[in-house]
Amino acid sequence: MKTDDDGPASPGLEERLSRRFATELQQAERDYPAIGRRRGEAAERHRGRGLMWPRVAVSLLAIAVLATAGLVGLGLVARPGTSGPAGSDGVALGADGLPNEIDGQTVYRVGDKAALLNLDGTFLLGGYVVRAYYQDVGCPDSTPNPSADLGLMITCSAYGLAPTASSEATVLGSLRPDVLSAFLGSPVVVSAKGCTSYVDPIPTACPPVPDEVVWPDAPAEVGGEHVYRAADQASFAALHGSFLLGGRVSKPDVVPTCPVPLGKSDAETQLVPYCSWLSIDGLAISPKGTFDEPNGERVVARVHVNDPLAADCPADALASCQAAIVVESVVWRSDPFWTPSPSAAASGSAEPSPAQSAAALPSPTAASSMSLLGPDGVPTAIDGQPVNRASSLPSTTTFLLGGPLTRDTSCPIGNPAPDPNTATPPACGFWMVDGVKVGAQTTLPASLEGSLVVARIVRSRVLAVCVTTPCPPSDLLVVTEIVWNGTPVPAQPN
Amino acid sequence: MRNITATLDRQETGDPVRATAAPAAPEWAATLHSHGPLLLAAARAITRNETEAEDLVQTTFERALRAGSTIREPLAIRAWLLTVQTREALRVVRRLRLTLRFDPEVHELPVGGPETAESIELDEALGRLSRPIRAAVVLHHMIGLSVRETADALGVTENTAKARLKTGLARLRELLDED
Repeated sequence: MKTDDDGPASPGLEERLSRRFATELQQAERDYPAIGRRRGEAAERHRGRGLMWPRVAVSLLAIAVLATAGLVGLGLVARPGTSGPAGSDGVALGADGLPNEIDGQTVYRVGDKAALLNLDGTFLLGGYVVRAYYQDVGCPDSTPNPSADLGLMITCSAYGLAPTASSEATVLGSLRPDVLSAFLGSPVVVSAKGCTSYVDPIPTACPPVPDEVVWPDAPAEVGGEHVYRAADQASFAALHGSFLLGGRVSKPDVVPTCPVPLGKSDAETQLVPYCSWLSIDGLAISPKGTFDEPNGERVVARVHVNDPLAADCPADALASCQAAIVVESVVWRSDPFWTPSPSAAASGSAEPSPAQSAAALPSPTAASSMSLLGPDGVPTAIDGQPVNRASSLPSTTTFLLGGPLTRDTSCPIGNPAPDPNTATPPACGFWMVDGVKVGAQTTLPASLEGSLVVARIVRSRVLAVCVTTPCPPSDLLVVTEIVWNGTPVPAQPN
Repeated sequence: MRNITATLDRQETGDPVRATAAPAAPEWAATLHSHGPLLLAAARAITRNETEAEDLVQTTFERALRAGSTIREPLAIRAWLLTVQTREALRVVRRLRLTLRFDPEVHELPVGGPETAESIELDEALGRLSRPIRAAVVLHHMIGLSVRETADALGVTENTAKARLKTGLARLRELLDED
């Protein structure tokens, strides 16, 4: 058909090619109405809902890097492998600087074509974060879309994974660039999902969900600033001003309020809390503002030591106060949907005020389906749930506990001083229900002290944080709700 | 800072930017549908895979819908659509080459028309060309784009396009045992 200067003429072959395409075109004209209607309508639907930028953005990929939040739960803590050098967090690294496995799962390499071919479902994928460029008619974050004046095709940039820090990306991150950008140039392991269709991985076979870095726990730097880890603790004292601390947050599922501080100064209470349940990679932290990171979340926080408040601590606690790691704000979080918020750094007490706590506490009610009161005036069941007593605590995770609500004042105030290295809940200062020591998810109104109550209890495994030594977790009963309260119990004469 | 640069200039794309007003959305969609069979036939010929061909047409269609209001030269639409589609086809194969093995035997395309021995032989020969070279042959020798248009669609220089066409024809002759 064509006889341009494209090499030796071959009329016979060109004629055959032309005839072949004519046949192909005839077939396409027969097929297109059905296919075109189906596919065209799908395309218009894409367009109608803001177009397919996720598809376009990721269409570069052979495999979409997709999030699987379940992979990165508490259990997915990197563990040492069996070979190779160990990273700073104890993970065995291969010669390419990537873990060979994490939590027993193989880490596949982005360059391991043969292995990736046969993968489907969710798996771990390791590579180096690099900038990636691809051409398209519009970039995900490009507003407006390129005009025809620009030739309709522009270069979009994204972050992707490559076999080495200096090679071309073979897998592109699918959503927020912030997630991968913090790791630029560094090795990472992400949770990835293989696609049924490797040809066009995004539209239907692979719903676009964010990728998530599962290793390392935190980037080596954020915004060019070095991120310190728990292992660097010895050097913290020499650091001036704030610095970045990265790692995994530990906190109990249900955080009880601390007992009433007894014999401690305000400065000590704030810097070295009587019960400190929060930690980053095992280092106790003292949030200055709100710190609502979930348990297991990987964060980079702006922190400081040598807080000015330390000057107000008593001499015997001065060193602990000066060493206290005060969190100012969270600057990076592994949650791909998270965005830094100025309010995260807002100062103020981490604990709600009594007024706030009282407002948050469900109003005690007389349960509508309460069973008969027991001999001591405590219901025996509410809404079909039995009300347990101290003498018959069930082993279930949640249950109702009834009895008088009192304070534990069994130890003299300030003597002995609380041991910051104890893993057990403080010996006094807690609320008690029917004589059982309990924590409270919110501050209980003081007006309830001495009343008969039925409280909803959650057994909470508290990851206690000690100042200088590791503490084993301890169990604590936590009041999440007062579901019934009756009249105050008359004071018993001593 | 985003790194956005024009990668094709107006000359390279055949300059669809001239003169006439942008088509209204319904008209634009109708215009695209009128090119549908050509896109499908080209996609089938280039990819040798029915699913991929349909995906390619859809992707091209989606992109054209997005860019619809900026395209002002209907006469250039065919070449532009083929450019978008071809580049996507080549991009796909680049992806596949990077991470996966692509097995054309598994996805062999059942083509239409009389299944003459000649057609089958030609299809088999085309299928044995690499995709970039096959795309050049399809665009130039089968669809009828000029060498310049073919080069634009492939995103290569004219000399490179000529080289691919030459290689393609030579390989086909060899495979078809033509003198």
